Amino acid sequence: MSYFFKSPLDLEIRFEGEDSRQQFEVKSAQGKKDKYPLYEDGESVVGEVTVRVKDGKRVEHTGIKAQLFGSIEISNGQRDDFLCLSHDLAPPAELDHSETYKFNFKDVEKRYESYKGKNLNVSYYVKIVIFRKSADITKIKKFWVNIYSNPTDLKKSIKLDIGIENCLHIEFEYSKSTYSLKDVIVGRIYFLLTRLKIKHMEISLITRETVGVQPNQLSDSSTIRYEIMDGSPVKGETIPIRMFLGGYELTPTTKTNLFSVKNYISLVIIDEDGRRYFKQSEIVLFRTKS
Amino acid sequence: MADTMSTEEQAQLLKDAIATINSETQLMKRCLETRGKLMDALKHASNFLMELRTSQLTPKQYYELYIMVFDSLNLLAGYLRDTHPHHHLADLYELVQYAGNIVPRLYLMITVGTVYMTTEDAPVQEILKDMIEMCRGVQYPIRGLFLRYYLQQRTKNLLPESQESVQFVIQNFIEMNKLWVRLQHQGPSKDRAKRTKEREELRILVGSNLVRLSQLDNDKDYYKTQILPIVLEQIIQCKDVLAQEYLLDVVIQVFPDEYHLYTLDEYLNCIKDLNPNVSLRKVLITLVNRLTDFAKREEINDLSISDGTEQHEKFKLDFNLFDKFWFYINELDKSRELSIEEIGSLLESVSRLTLAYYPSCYDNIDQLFKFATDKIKDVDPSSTVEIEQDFEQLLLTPVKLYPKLLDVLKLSNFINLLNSQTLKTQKSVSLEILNKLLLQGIKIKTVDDVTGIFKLLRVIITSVDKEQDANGEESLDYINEQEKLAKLVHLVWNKDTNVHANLLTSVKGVLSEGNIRHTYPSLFFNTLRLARRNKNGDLTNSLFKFISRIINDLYRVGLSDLSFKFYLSSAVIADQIQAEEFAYEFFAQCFTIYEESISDSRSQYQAIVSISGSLQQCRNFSRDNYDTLITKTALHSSKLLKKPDQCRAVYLASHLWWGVEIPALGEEEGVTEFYRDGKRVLECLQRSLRVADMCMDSGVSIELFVEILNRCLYYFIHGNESISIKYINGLIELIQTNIDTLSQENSVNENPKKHFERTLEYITSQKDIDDRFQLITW
Repeated sequence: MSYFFKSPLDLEIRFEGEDSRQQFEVKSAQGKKDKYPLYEDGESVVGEVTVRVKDGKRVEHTGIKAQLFGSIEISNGQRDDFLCLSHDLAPPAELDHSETYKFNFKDVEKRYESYKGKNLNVSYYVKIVIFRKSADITKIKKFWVNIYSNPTDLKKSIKLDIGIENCLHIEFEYSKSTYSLKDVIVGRIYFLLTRLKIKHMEISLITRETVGVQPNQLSDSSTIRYEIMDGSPVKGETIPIRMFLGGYELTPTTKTNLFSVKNYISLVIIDEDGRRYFKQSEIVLFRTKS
Repeated sequence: MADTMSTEEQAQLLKDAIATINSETQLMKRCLETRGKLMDALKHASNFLMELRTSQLTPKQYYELYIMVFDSLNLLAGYLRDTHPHHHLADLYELVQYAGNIVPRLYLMITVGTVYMTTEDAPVQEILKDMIEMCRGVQYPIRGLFLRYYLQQRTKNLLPESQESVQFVIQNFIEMNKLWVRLQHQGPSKDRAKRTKEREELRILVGSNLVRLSQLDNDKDYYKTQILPIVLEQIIQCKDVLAQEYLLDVVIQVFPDEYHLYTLDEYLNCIKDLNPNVSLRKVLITLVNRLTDFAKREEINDLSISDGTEQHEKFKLDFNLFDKFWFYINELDKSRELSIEEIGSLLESVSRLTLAYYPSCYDNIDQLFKFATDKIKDVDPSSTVEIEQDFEQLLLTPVKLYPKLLDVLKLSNFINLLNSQTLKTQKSVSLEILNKLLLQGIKIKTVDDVTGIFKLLRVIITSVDKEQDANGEESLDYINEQEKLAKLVHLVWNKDTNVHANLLTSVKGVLSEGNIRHTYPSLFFNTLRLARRNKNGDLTNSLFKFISRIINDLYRVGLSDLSFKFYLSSAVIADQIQAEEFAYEFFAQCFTIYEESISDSRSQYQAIVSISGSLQQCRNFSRDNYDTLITKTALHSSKLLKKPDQCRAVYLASHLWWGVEIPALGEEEGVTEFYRDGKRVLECLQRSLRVADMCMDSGVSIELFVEILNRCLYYFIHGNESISIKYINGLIELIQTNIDTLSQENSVNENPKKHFERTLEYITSQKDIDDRFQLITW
């Protein structure tokens, strides 16, 4: 942050046990990796802020406040703070030496996962504000939130029977329709009829984020492609599918009234003339602890 | 597709691919040498593996890439093995599966997986199962084949001795075969031939599985129940000619012969379900030949003799091998209508088989021959050269392999089959038999053998020389064949003279159909030999009559010279065994031939000399008969055309009246009584002297005079008193006068003069020994 005036105070925010806390890596736009301390839903966010006075100056303020925000930013500039907590750290006073204040947001309910997408960011941060008669002095510090779930009602396998008349007839099966992010997709494709000259077959894992409502809806998707068959099988051939998910950066399926992230698995057959035939099925991804 | 590219483009592509593999391999190596850069190393490995995704290269070029990649992956595998447990191989096995492309992914997976298998407590079976299952993802034939070949090579030394391992190899084999067969049906049909060729190049990849399978430790029963049926099932199911021929051949070659014997039913059953275009030569005859060789190697002598000797302990068969093959041949014939070519070669090999296993079981071979005869009835045996050859081989099998050649006669259908062949085949088979008989010098001792063998040789006996030229000169080949027949006649022999005589009668009967000019002479001599050996009077009669018939036949075909000589020889023999009547008759025949057919003056002279010589040896004539014969001889002598011939013949005939001892007969001068008549001798000499004198050429006269002088001296020495000193002296004087006369004309010939001088020298030398010679003067 560049201020017109150089700030007379230094603020340093530290979360409690920050060094030992699990960090979450996020790729930034520049390709660098940013690390954030990781929190989960319902966990207290506790820490302290140290205010240092520069060069023995005296600084007057009208109070110090700690705030915790959860907000959604959309690329069109829209912004929504779905979470805003605050409490006072100090009454108005004059600071002539460095002081440390503790903040404690107890059992904070965090509805969404932190998310960094194309058109949408979900982010959490702690903001310290020192109120002054002139410009206030603020400092924020981001943290990351992962929501863990452990759905018990894992839906049954996906089984589909599709075809093009007199040309292709396949049955395929994925063992489940709901996967944890570290799971492995296992399945098989059974060729009942193939008159196509297939060049290869792949699985596409598509993550689609959608923001807003029609007609101002913004959506974007990212795809991971994984070849599962080379060449053209004959009738009766069974091709196995196995795709480990753990190595990819995937997003759990999320749905809010503002935005949604959905995951699809798509079976794509590419023939020798480059034509693509595909069948897409939605799968639910969730995050589990550990 | 590969066929859309030119060869140059492909070569360039290959070059580029090789360059990429080389550089990525170098990069991978460097990363492996640096700690903590395994991920980058894998990335480079994945990069060079991308080259194996190409569809543009020929199988050979692809193989070249494969070899390079194999070496590079070997480096990686070596590193992983050495650095274990720094890299937890189970995790690594999962990690490499993130590769987005399936071909590189699976190569890496197999590389890591096989290293993982070598670690302690590794779930070997699970890894194997997983790898082979995932390989299904590659359905492109060439890439799939090489990938699975890689799997096979990598796991080669890691398979535990277990049934799972066997099933693993079999499964890989099945999948590879499917891919291999599928290759045939890819792309445009105009390239069919090219694809067949490509498949030929790739076949070893598929076959290597069977080789591997044979190296695993399997017992016979497991092979029979769990391996062979599945392998055969796959071979049948694929319906592909190339695959069926090649793979069955591999099965036969890689598994031990004991197993084949043990699983004969399974194998033979499968044959009839094969694609009808499969060459039986390749899939069945190979097996038969292997089993035949096996019998030789194991020194199995004769399974048909079940006497429980030690060789049977070493080798036992609880079924009859021949019957089994016989059964399946019939089955096969029913189910797919065997072509005559197939039958020919098949029977040939089965016949060798049965000869190896059951040499004394003649029925087996005979059965085959009958089958062949029935089959060949419907076709023209000369329709192709191959059929001819196959059947020739079939016929030659027992000829070549029977230790006793005459056993061939026990095959009653041999002759039928032989007769159904082309003349060329018949001839070559007959010749082979003939050669073998001669080579082994097998004596033919029974009438059945005679009829049997000569039946087999009938084609040679009755053959006509096609190459005979305009002058009636016979070709060398023909003469050779006939000569061999003649030699064969000499092999007819039996200790019992009666039987021997019967044999000869049969031989004559057979040979009379052919060219007797070549064969009768040896029959004649064989008979003559028998006549000499024979002591039985009745037989003697019939033998000489037989001989007479032989000579007569020969005479009738115009061989008068030969007949004459044969009569003469017979006469001498007849005399020797005191069959005077026959001897006389034979001499009489000689004279008849002489009178009827010998017209050339030179031959006449020779004939007379021969007769004289023969008569001289005869001892058993009655005086009258002998007189008649020798007088006739002298008469013929004096009637010769040329004077010198007359002269010589007459002085030679003079000897007929002056018998001398034949030491071989135990005769002795002074003891034995000889037929001698000195006066007749003198008469002869005088007559010849007159004739000599009548010669126009004085040189010839002198020569003849000297010769007569020599005769005189001979008789003088041998005590013929009719030849007096006076006579000799007169003769000497006559010669001298003649020489003198001629010397005056200066035209004396040196040779008679020298002969005369040598004679005189002889007389001089004899004077010292014999007093009588003192009186000879000149």
